[in-house]
Amino acid sequence: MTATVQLFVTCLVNSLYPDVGKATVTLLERAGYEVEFPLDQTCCGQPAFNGGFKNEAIEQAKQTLDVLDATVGPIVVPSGSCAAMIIHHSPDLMAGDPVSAAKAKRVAARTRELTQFLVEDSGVDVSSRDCDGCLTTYHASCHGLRWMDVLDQPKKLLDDAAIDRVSLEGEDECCGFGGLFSVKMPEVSTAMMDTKINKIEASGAAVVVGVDVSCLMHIGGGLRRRSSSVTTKHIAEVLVEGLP
Amino acid sequence: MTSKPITFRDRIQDAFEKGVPLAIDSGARGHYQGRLDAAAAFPQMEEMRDRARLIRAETLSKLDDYLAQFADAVTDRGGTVFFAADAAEANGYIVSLARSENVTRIVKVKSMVTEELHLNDALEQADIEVVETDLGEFIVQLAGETPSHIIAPVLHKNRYDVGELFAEELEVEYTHDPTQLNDIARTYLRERFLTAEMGISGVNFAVAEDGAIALVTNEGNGRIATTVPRIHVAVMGMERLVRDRADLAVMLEVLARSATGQKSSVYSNLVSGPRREAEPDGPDQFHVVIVDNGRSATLGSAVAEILYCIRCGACLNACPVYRHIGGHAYGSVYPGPIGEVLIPSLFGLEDWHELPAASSLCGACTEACPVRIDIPRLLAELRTQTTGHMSRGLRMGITLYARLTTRPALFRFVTRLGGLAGRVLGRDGWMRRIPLVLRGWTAERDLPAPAPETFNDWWKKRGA
Amino acid sequence: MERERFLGRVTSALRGAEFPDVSGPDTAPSLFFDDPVARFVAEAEAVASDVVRTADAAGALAAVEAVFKTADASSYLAWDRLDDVVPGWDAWAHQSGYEQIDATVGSDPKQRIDDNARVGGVLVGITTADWGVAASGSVVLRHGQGRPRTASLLVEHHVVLLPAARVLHSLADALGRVDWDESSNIAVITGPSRTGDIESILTIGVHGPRRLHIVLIG
Repeated sequence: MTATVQLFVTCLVNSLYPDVGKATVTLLERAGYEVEFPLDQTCCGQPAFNGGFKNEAIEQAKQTLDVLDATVGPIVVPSGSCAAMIIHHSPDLMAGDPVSAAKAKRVAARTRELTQFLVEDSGVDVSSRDCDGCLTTYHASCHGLRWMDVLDQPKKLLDDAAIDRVSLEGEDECCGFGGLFSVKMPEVSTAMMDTKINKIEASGAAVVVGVDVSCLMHIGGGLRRRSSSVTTKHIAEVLVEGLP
Repeated sequence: MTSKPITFRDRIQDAFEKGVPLAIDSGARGHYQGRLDAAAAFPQMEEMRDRARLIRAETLSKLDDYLAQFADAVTDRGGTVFFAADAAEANGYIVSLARSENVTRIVKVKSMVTEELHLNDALEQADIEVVETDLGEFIVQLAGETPSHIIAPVLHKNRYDVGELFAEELEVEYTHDPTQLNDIARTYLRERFLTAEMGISGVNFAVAEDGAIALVTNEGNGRIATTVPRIHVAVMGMERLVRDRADLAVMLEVLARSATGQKSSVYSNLVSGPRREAEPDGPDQFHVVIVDNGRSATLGSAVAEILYCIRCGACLNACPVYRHIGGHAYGSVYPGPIGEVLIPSLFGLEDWHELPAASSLCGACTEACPVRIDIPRLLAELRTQTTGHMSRGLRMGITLYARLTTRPALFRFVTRLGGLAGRVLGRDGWMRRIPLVLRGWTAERDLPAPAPETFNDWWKKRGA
Repeated sequence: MERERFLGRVTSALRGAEFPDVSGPDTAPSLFFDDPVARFVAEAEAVASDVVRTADAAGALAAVEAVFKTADASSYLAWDRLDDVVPGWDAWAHQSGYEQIDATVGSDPKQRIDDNARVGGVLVGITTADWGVAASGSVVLRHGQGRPRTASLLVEHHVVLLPAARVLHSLADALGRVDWDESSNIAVITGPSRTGDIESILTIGVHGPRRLHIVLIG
């Protein structure tokens, strides 16, 4: 019997980067799972939570928990920060409500970030995805790195796939996105982004790879405004499509 | 009183226009790397941090008991304790003590709490000369500025700035050689040390059981200012306590490594009371001023955890926002991540509502913090009280999105419409100019347009 | 503010405090070294202390003599009872030709300033240390009767005569042995005075001694 995984695709992927969702499905199927996608999923509530809109965040988190708790099997999220929201912040938000808190705890225990799941829980064949002259570098998104310990897993997957990768100076430094921060404090946010982009360009890589489309959207938006030749890609896309 | 912010955005603008000195970024990075190296060379570091965090938690949970025990022990050993509710009381006590003892010159050891109290201003208004003796603080004082970092006050200056300042203010020959600058300060300040009647220090830790204070410095000014003048006044925030010397040892192990990457600071000075009868030197009077100044309100709040802070500055060094804007942009005595929580907690969110917003919540601060303060959690908590200061557009956006995302069918419908809009607005999948709340984004960044087909729709088709 | 009112505010604040759940070890991790003396020497040298190891008192006296030559000094501050750690000290001091300056300062404000002037210009200070700390290369000095603080503080050269048997593993070991009844001040000293305040460039000898000479005996 084939094991089932639930895909929580995230609202950004749903609307802006559906190809990342499709690549995630491919990877999970290649890893031998039957993928289910609960259609009523929306947003985990992270933007509201980080912005200080606690009531809104609670409502969104509850919606997410209701949808996910009605399913079985591991819940896989192609985003370190949305996974961190479900695992760490949702249970805190539900603290005042025992029923929801129990739900949050159950869902948190089942939730995994995509690369974590692929490397630590399942294993997937990503060999021969290489292409000549395509050099990547990895940006470690903050929430994945510091709340989820995601750093070595994506690198291992890139290496397993024989994709050339150079190290990025300050790979663990924030790109300046930070959700609402990017529009509330655009001067600081873009200054941080410029530092990040300068280092990316200095690395000589053609593609920046990450596990969070939010940061990639930010970095990518800056690269594009600069008319840089460097592009951004989510790791799922890189592993499925190869490069470029 | 603490100066009211013009606005945080104004100061950031100012910092960018002046150009935040490269010294800030490289200095902070240097300290950051020092901490990493020190931690890597210390196998017990992580366990020591866990222990340190627990010590802070346990001590603060019984702070009233420990304060009473500490005050009794200080008094038993011949010292005097004054409890100050706020800056006015603390400064008032010290000024009147200085007056009654005919003090004309005070040497001072770098202390964040006295910066917070604006003690120097109060003393100068009373016509008492007060000389900062930490090299960095001395430079700041000569320049008429404020510190830009908790442990490296002149991170914003380079050696040429200091050389010019010394030449002008101290009437010495210009040099930018750090060793010569150091010697100029040594000579100038030694004369002040020997002739001051009072030394004022902060307190890194106060040991409740012993009635002792621990004062940590690298330069030695912390020992001289508390040894040579006949009166020593130690000023402490009321949360500085540890239970006993075993706990003190733990805190000192993590403090030096986190602050500068040293295994131990050069001088850890433990003072318990004035000099004893038979001692040849040391102060004849020992006063401890224990300061509340907003701390009890902070303690009684949802951000009480911020009082675990031991003022090592590691979060500043780790913070990408701090490294880009520098300490002065924060507009108050505690910059960086710690300040984003501490300042609004101590002095009120009404005046300081912008500070909790000045973070991308990247978590580098918590990773660096020796007592693992969950600063992003505290910032998110404070932000729940500042949403009223956000633009209407932003607030409406968040509220509407929350409504939308709790109605799945509507969410699917609207995101599908978004795909249609994206086809109209976007060019190659990107947008260049968006008005209203997203204007800040598109000033310097493109924004991806919604994809023509949502993942949700794709999935439904795929299953069909 | 009155003490009781101040503490009362803290007590009532604690009732509303929202602390996170914190877990951690009940005791501090202990630091232990197979060869604490060797570790002490390595750590002390790493922070720019000058360490001289000597087997006996004669070697220690020679090391002290060398410091006077380096400092070009004719007088010194010193602790009492150094003869206990370096037998023959008293006889050496008597015939060395160097003058020991009285470190005692008065309590009268004017007297104090005069005394400070006398003590403040001395170049060499000689003390023992109660303990050495292997983990950090620190020396721990209990000041008190016959043990002036300025001897390790205002001088340019601080000489510490330290029997090797006094080297402990950690700071916690040393602080655990402190007895406040004999003293009002403990200094843990780790190398010569230093700063990195200007551009993070390490500079030695800001306010305290520029050199820390540790004479390790035995």
